[in-house]
Order: sequence, then structure tokens, then C-alpha cells
Amino acid sequence: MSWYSVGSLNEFTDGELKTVEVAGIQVLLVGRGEDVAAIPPMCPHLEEPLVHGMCDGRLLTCMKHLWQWELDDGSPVGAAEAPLKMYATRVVDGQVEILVEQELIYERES
Amino acid sequence: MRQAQAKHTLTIQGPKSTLEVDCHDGERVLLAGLRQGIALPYECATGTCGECRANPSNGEAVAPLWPEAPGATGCKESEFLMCQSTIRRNTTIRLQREPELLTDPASPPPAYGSATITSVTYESNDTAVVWLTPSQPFSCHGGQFILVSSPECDGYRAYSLANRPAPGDPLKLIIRRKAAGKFTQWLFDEDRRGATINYFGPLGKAHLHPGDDAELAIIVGGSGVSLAFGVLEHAIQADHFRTHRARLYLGVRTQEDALFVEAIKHYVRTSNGALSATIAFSEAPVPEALQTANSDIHFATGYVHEVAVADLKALRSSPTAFVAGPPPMVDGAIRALIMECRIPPNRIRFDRFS
Repeated sequence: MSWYSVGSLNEFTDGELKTVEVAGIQVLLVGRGEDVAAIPPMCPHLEEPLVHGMCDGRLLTCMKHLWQWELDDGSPVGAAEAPLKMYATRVVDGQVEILVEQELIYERES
Repeated sequence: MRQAQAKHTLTIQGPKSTLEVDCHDGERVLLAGLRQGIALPYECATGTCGECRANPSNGEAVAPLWPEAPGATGCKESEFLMCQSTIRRNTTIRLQREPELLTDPASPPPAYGSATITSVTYESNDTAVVWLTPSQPFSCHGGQFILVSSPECDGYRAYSLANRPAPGDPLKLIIRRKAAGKFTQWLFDEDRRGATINYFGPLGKAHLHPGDDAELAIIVGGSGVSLAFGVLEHAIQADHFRTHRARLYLGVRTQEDALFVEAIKHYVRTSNGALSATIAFSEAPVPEALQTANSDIHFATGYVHEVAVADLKALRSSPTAFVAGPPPMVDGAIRALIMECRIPPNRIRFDRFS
């Protein structure tokens, strides 16, 4: 079990998108009120960087085709056909930590 | 296809299913699939967006027609752009999504055609309204586009139809001269009336659908005005204004760029009050005399998406929104429609003109 600190919770505003590198792995952090969601940085659809998307703290939207996901569990909304993979996160003494054991990757043709 | 040519078999393979189509020698893979009713992924169809990436089973069988296409920069080594490539022999390509058939009888597959330029009317030094008479019946939904090529220029350019032609009707394009654009140089440098051009279409999903049953909000910048006119023509033909309002927002930099004011006034009057139109100047104040002389239109100062969203936030139900223009404008408008107006993505149709 490898939990990594990625900063203080008060550094994240609701819906803010921020890419960080943890243990050599790119992770997109998204502020969602009382904690932070951590997901792979690319859209599960066609590899669009989700950091260019938008989020209101509850719904994340990719700018490429406007796919949307619930930020609490990564489930797809509307036209989105695939869920988001998510890293576990927790807040300990005001510090945001994410659990990165291996890189989460979407299955795609390559 | 334009002439008898050798053809190859193109096998399109999704994660679970496979379809086969013909691809003529030199024909673009994307157009080969689309004309035979396969709903291949694309957005611009002209090499700039990268949406139509695919993986060939044998890379040597694929011949790029424009290796430097901007959309190819995002391709992996194994990928190619279907809109900018042809195949040399029988080839299998793999897609990330299942290949689907175009099954909507109201939207037949696009096709090749030729048309004669019958009229060119200059709205300014660098913008012209061009009328084409197709040699085959052509129809489309309001807001769709076609690819156009001239005999003297390689490749295709994409233009939205500024009308909504039925079979037998001429096609209306609004074309702006581009400094380094060979096609527009060809078009503008001489009187081209009577010349023949080739086209492929109709294309695009940012159009009015036959069953649309909501207010319309159309936010366009620059040459996106063509899409707006196409949608409005379709709305008039479909009697949409009998039951629904529409709001048009056109963004331009200054008064000098505010072409088509008379055309917009025509649409406002034709709608019997159902259409309101706003022209937003991003780089200049609105002269009082301009507003006074054109009371059918509202003029505003600011970026068009900001002007539109300030208005649309007050709506009680989500309109169907159309957005077209330069990518930064389109992205700004989409962001504001979703985040500020709470319009669901399935109500937003857009064309980014890269």
C-alpha cells in the first residue's frame, strides 16, 4: 500500500483540475468539495487530456465530445460510454493522499 | 466516384464486429467509408482535428495524402488519419469503436458530386457569397457542411451550407479569402462563374434534427454565420418558429466585419417575432447610429459567448444550442453553456473551424 501526499486540501478549489506526477505516474486531481478525486489524465474515449475539461465539483466534462462523469464514483452520464477509473484518495490531517499501486490504464487499440 | 478506377477492399474492424467497403485508387479512406454508409468517426474531415485516427493492420498499405496535416501530430506511429490517407491494396483498419451503419432514412450517406459556380457576390474585399448549381440532386439538414475542391487545387476545403437546399436547389456558400489558401486564391483571383468544382457531402452533425422540439440558441463567430443561416433556413422550412423561439448571437470584431446585417434582419422579420438577433463586437464599441438604423437587431460589445450566456442564463428550460466558429470561441461558448447555463451536453451541437 503506497499512499502519496499531493498537497493540502485547502489548495484545491471545488472543480479545479490539476495534473501531478506521483511515483512516475501522471494523475489528474479534481477538487470535489470536502476532498479530491484522482483519475488517469486522459479521457477513456479518445485520449483527450481531461485537464482541458471542466468540472463543477460534481460532474466532470471532457471538452472533446462532451462526455461527462459523476465525480464521486466515475460513473458515466449521458452520452459517455465508459466509466472513469479512479485512484483511492483520503484526507489525513488536512493533507490529500492518493493510493497509487500501479498506473490505471484504459483498454484501447494501440 | 468520379471516374472508373481500380478499387481495393477496405475492411473496417471494431472491437467486436467487421464491415467491408470498396476504396478506389487514390480515394480517401474516410470518404470511401462514409459514402457507403459507414458512420466512421470524423469532425472536420480536412486533416486538422485528428478525430478520424485509425490503425491499419499493415502500415505499408496506407498512403498519406498530406503527411504534415495538423491533425496527424496527435497520431501514434501506428495510426493514420482516414481523411488524409488512401490505401494501395486490400487493407484492414481497426477502430476503437464498433463500425456502425448510417441507418437514418432522413440522413442519406454523403456522396461525391460536381457543381457549377453560378454566382459570386462580394460582401467585402475578402468575403463572397458563392452559389453553386449541383449536377446531381443534393439535399441536407440545416447546419451541415460539404467538402469542396477545384480542379486546380489539391485536397478539400470544408464549408458550411448557408442555406438548406432541397433537391434541385442551388447551394449557398459564404467563403472568406485566406492569405495562404490556394482554393480561395483560385476562387477570388479571377471570375470563376461557369467553372466546375467537385464536392463531397453533406457532412456534419451540428444540424437541426427533424424531431427537434425546443427553443434554439445559435452562437457563432466569423464564418460560423453560414451554419447559423443553414439552421435558420431549416427552422423556417420546418415551421419551427410557429411553436418555438430562437436566439442568434453573431460575434465579430468591429462594425467593418458585421456583414450580412440585412440577411439577419430578413430572418428576424420572417420569423414573425420568434427570432431575436444580437451582433456582438469584441474589439469596438457599438455606434449609436448603427443601432438606431437597425432596430430589428440588438448590438452589444463583448465576446459573443459572454453576451449570449448572460442572456441564456435566464431561460427556464434548456434550448438546443448550436455553436460554430474559431476553436477558442467554440470552446468558450461550450464551457459557459454547460457551467453557467446548465445546458446538458446532448443539447449542444458544435463545429470547430480549425
